[in-house]
Amino acid sequence: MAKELHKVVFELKDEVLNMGQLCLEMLDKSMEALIYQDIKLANEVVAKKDLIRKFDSEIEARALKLIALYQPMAIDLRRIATILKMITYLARIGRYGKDIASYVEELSTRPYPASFVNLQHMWDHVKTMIQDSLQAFEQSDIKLLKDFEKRDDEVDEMRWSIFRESLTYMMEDPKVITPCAFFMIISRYLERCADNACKVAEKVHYMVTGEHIEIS
Amino acid sequence: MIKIKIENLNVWFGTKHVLNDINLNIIKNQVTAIIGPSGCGKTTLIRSINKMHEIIPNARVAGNISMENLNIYGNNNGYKTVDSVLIRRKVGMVFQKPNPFPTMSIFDNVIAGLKLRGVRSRKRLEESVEKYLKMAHLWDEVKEDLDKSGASLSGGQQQRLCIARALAVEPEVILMDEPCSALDPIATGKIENLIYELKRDYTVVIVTHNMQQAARISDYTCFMYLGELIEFGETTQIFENPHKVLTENYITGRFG
Amino acid sequence: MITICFLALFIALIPLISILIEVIINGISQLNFNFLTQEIYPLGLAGGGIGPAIQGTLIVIAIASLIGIPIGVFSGIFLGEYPYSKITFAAGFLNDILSNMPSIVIGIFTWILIVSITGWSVFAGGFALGLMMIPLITRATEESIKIVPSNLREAALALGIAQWKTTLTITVPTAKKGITTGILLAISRIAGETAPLLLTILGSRFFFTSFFEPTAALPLTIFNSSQSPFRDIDWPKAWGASLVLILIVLVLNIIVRLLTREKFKR
Repeated sequence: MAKELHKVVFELKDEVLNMGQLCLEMLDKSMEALIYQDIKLANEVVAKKDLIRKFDSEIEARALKLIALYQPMAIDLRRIATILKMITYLARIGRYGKDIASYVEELSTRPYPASFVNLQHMWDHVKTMIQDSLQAFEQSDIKLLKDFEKRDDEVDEMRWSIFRESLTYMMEDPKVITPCAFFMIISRYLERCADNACKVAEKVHYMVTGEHIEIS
Repeated sequence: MIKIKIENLNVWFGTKHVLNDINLNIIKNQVTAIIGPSGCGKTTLIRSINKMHEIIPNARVAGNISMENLNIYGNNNGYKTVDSVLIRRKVGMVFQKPNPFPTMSIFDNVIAGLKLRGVRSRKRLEESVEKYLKMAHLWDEVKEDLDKSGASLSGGQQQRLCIARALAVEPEVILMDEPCSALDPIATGKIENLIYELKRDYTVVIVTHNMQQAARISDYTCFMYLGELIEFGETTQIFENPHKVLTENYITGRFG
Repeated sequence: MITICFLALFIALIPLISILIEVIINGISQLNFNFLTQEIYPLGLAGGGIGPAIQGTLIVIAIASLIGIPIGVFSGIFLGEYPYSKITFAAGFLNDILSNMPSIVIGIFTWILIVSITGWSVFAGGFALGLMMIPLITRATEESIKIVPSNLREAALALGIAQWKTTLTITVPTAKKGITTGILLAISRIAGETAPLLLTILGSRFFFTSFFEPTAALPLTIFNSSQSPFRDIDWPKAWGASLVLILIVLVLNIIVRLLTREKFKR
């Protein structure tokens, strides 16, 4: 019976990684659509939003079934607990991707100020954080999570920098108020995605070591 | 607070070295579970505590076991050494297969230990029977039939009768050797609830090969393998985050 | 296969059935109150009965039981409770030898030990039969004790009851049925023994007078009557006595069967 449990846990792990890939992709494509003003790409992203919910509820149901049937212990228990929390965090990341994509149509009718370059840079940072947290989960390796706290602080810095820059632009030229307001929102979303990546990292750390940590 | 201290315990059956250097503290008024695969020595360990292995020919023991200030084995710590009969009155035992005395009624079974100690007063005996059958949650089911044979009850009832019988002697420690393995889930549940209540007044040590049971009812868990104590700790720690790889492999089923 | 077994069974039953038929046919006519209670008449004299013989058989069985039962039961308890002791090994071996000892040898032994000193006596007869009972009861008791599940002993010990008290109050009562069966089987076995009686109580025509006088007994009466030249007078008496002896043994066996059957009903 334990063999069955381990087989199913590994299948579930793959499913979570697939979900993580999907959500990462949604965010990636939405940022690409934003930068290149690609409405078609943005609509593709928005169309995938139901997939997130499907992944979320299916993985949750299977994890709960595992607990009911097999009473997992120790590492198996911690892995399932991590999976249950991760799908929530990944779903949020995917939702932010969809939200950003939904602004692309609105924003593609207006010109973009220079701060846009900083959004790309911020996204690159956040993207690697999400990728590293997923890889750490896949390989049960907490070395990748070593400097997450520092990286999160950097992302926070970038967000505030975009905030100040946008304010400056808005004060200079009323015509850019709308797009800059959107940029402030988007940078906030990216910062929240980094926070969610940190939460995934915390749970992976618990899964591997059994200890609870806080990355804030 | 430590109730029983086991130090460097070694047990041999003939030339077979069954327990290898066991060091363990049993905490007072807590339930300690001993888990491990078959043949790891769990039964031998608890039977050493009340000297029951003396029944086995060629059994040899080295090391110290002491209960508060009494010596069970060894005597290099200045405590008083007492004989087996006295130890067994302080350390009771419930066995895997329920074993009520078939020639005695339910009433006589409960007081078997008391009567053979010389307690004669009818009133005192009747009070004891009621008290301990109530403690074992068996009173309501048998109060009308106290003079029926002990063997006429169902498996779960027989086991509760054996528990009442063990409690009637007023021990301080209760050892249980897989008490539920011969019982159905409902009977098992009743006994697990009972064990949970018992720890208020007694120290309980339970051997079980059912890990979920150990996780449910114990405060401390001790994992044994091939005669050695591999890991001992609070139950939540052992089952959520065991320190030794061997322990983790056992409880996640990766053994064998 | 089944046919062969059935045939063997049938053949085995033939002697038993034919004995019973012969004894019943020839002896039943003798059974009446007089026969069972009157004095034994000398050979050739019609009338009388086998009253003293019945009385003597019962007395000698009683004495044998008084000797054989306590010794047999307590020996059996020791052998059963301490199966690994060296004493047990030796004693068990000797016990088997005693149980296979020819009854005539036991008779001679008793003759030398007791009769040569005190003369013919019913006490000597009881002694000899008691000796024959001991190994049977010991074995039966030992087996009954061994069959008592060890977990009952363990339960008693774990309650802090000393070993000897455990044996007395738990093990022996549980083995009671087996021990009782052993005792009854031993009694029914020795009830019909003739050889030891020839050398110890000698036989007599009269009712019991004292423990140290010759006494009558059924096997002896049967033997005497069958040797009589007055066939038409004494042979029927022999048949009658045989029937009575068989009935006594049969009744004891039925009691044993009833007692053992009751055990399963519980």
